[in-house]
Amino acid sequence: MKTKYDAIVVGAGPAGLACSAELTAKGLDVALVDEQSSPGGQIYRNITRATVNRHNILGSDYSEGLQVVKEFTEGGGTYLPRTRVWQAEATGDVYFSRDGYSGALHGEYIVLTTGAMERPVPFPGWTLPGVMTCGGMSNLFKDSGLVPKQPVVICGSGPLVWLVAEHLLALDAPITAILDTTPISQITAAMKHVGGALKRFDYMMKGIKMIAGVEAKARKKKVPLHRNISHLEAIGTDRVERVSCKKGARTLSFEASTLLVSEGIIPNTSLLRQVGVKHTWNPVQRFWHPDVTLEGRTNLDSVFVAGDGSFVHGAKSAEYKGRLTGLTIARELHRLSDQQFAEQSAPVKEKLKRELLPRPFIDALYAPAKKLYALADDTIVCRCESITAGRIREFIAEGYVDHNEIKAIIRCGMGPCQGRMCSSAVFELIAEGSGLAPETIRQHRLRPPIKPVSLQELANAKVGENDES
Amino acid sequence: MKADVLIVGGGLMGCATAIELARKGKSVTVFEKDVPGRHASGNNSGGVRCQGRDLREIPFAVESRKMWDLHPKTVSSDCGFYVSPRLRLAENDAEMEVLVKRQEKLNSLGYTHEVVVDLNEVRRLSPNVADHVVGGLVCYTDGLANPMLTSKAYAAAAGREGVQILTRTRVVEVQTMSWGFKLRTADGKVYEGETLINATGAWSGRFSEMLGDPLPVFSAAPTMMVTDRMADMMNGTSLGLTGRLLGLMAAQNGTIIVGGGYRSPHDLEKEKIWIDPMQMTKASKIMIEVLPGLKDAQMIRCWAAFEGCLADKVPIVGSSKQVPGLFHVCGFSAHGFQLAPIMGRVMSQIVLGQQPDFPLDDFRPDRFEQKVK
Amino acid sequence: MVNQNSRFSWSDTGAADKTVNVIFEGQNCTVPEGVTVAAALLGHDDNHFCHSAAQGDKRAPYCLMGVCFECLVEIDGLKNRQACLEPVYEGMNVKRQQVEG
Repeated sequence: MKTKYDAIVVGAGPAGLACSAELTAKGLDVALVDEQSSPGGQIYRNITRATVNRHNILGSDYSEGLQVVKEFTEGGGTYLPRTRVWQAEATGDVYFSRDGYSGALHGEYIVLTTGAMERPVPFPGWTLPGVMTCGGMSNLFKDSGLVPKQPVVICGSGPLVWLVAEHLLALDAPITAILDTTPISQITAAMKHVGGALKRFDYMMKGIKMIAGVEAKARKKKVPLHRNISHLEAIGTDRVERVSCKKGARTLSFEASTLLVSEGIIPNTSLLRQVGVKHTWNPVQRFWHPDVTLEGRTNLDSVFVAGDGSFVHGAKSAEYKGRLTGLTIARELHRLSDQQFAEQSAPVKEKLKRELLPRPFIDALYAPAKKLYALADDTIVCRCESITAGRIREFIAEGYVDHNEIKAIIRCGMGPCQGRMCSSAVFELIAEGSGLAPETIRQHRLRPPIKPVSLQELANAKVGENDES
Repeated sequence: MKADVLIVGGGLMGCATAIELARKGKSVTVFEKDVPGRHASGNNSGGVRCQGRDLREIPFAVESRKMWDLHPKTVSSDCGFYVSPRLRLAENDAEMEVLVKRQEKLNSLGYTHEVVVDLNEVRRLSPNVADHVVGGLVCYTDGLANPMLTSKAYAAAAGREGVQILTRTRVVEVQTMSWGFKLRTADGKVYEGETLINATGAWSGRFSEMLGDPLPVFSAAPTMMVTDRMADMMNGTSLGLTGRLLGLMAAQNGTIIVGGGYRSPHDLEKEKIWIDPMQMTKASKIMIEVLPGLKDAQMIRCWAAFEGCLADKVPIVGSSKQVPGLFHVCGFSAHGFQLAPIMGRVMSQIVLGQQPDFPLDDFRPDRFEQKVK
Repeated sequence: MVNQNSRFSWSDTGAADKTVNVIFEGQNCTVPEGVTVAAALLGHDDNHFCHSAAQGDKRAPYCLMGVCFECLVEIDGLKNRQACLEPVYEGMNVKRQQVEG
């Protein structure tokens, strides 16, 4: 297997595909590495194999991803599916496991297009089978066409909630309730950004139409739709059976064998942090994101970041960011003159800027609610190790303000997910308990392997054997 | 600001020494550039091990082991300690001979904590070891503790004894005066004290230069790994090897902590460590050879921490010959965790001009100079 | 491809589509070709995949995008496979991941 490339791109979503396509178009040798078995990332998951019916339900926002997949495929870049990257270094070395062995690749540049993930927000019962993210439901449908056939509740805040509601209504899934947790107060807060957003009137109308469509259809099908919801709880013994929540002082309860939740999307930064890319705290969306220029540059010369992994801006933006990164690396490798770069990048930058116009409005409207992490003490925060908010608060009360130290003592964030599911909440608990400014709190540290690797896979390593001891 | 004793380094050695001195009536200030437990003290593999130690350390380790049982009283925390016998395996007859000789040597010195065991006893202790194993040497009283918890418990105990621990406070200048020392910290404050203790771990080589008493301590980044839960595999017994690098600690929660001498490249100045994947590969191969059932285990995480090491692999503990009033306690070479309680005690003894419980000749700071002469 | 236990149904896979046979906990399941193991199991079972390592309670896929590690299964003797990332193949033998120790 060839191991040396001009660039290794990690993640085959729109950013990774577009970046790889740009690089191969300039005659550069690229390896695109991805965990999934077909290209598309989460947003275009399974796009090359999904049925016509699925394309119809998911609409043009999904189907237009075929173009960038095609562009990459025709470009002839090396594609390595089902390959889990567990370590990358600024030297350009990328370590992975695949089909039961581990190996290493080297790129003059590495581009990390690791995308986004659902913001994990603990609530009572969230570990019960049947509780799933809206993004997860969407992936399931893209993968296989599976649709809930028993009562399903959709709950959360953000565009994904409405999108999944729209799809499930179209598929006649037995929805028992749609619950919007967006606090009314945030609508007012978001209005100050509405000017910028209205410059993309088309985009805003699409959102308004989608929500109106869901409302109309829900009314027609007598699906209860409630706003300003809080205190979500999944109830059941071995699986979710009921969902309860609060609307003001009222407690609502619904039958459910599936509960779909979504509280927004955050960058998936595990690999970026392991490599050593610098991050910045965003106080509106309350997440850490890498410090990245429009062209994908980071604090590390050979490491670029593009797509939603740099900041959550959506699929089209991700593609444009990937293109700009590809062009930038092509210039660095002298495949483009400064003038060619300027000519080719200008229209992409223009499109990206247009795409970003409504983002401040959306980010403010769907900012994580203040009370999102006001967790009850008995709520499990660390799913892997079943550690509750109360247990974590005990340590914070003793003066611990570093997730890494808490982890070293009670294993919160030490399970196979490596803190991906709990670190946002632990961070918020520390901020709440210590009164420290979030940007001054030490982030949960990521060390390789960023995903568990079996000892057999490690032992079967096809890595340089220059063993000194 | 004044104190009797200024201790630079808020790790286990610094805090252990501070506790003992404070209990003996001294006023103590500890300077810690990060927070207690940030480096090797809080992030080592947690082995509380007498087995296999350098003979020069044995008297200290045996006494220290007793002190581990007293932690609930001495530092108000059990430090997460529990007993997990440490079994060093012989993978062939030649290695078995090494172990037999070691036990004979220990017995001749009056120590009985390490016992040669035959294959039956090896299998009773660790039923899943590979067929090629021929025997072992075990210390039944060895155990494991939680390094972060221990570091924090020591710092908290020091605080309760009236020790002033200055966290996130870096010492940037040391002046040797006729009466003692003047320390200036990064925030511009000046501290004075008669006695100065260097407990700066990985940084002690550099710090000793600043003091005008250079020590040959070099930094290293011991690398640890942890698996998913594999409780049945270890049967509560921790394992070491005789001829190869590997230490497998049977953590109480069922995971296996892997240590035993792996090192990662690092930059002490930038405080950056690069985990070398080859170390994981090497360790995995040996782990599967020794415990074939581990092929299904997952490597969940690696970590490393800065540590101070010496060429002869035993620490420097004693007073400076160059600078009166200066003491060193450093260079534990990746096995200081178990020794922390006793080191606190003997340090306090020599600082107060008392006879230490055990002679410290083997750990003299100037032992390297003599070799050159 | 219908199972009473499942909370999901295959919405768009007609009789003409290609299927593969997967063995799950000793039972034969016929599932559409190319789906992930997670989809195959969700379409066929009451939906628990593994147990929490700390407390042993039942767990099932939460994120379905490779992040949460709650869909771990044993595939053809290899443990800790993320069902949401592995595609099915003919004769694949899938088991629930049991808690160690």
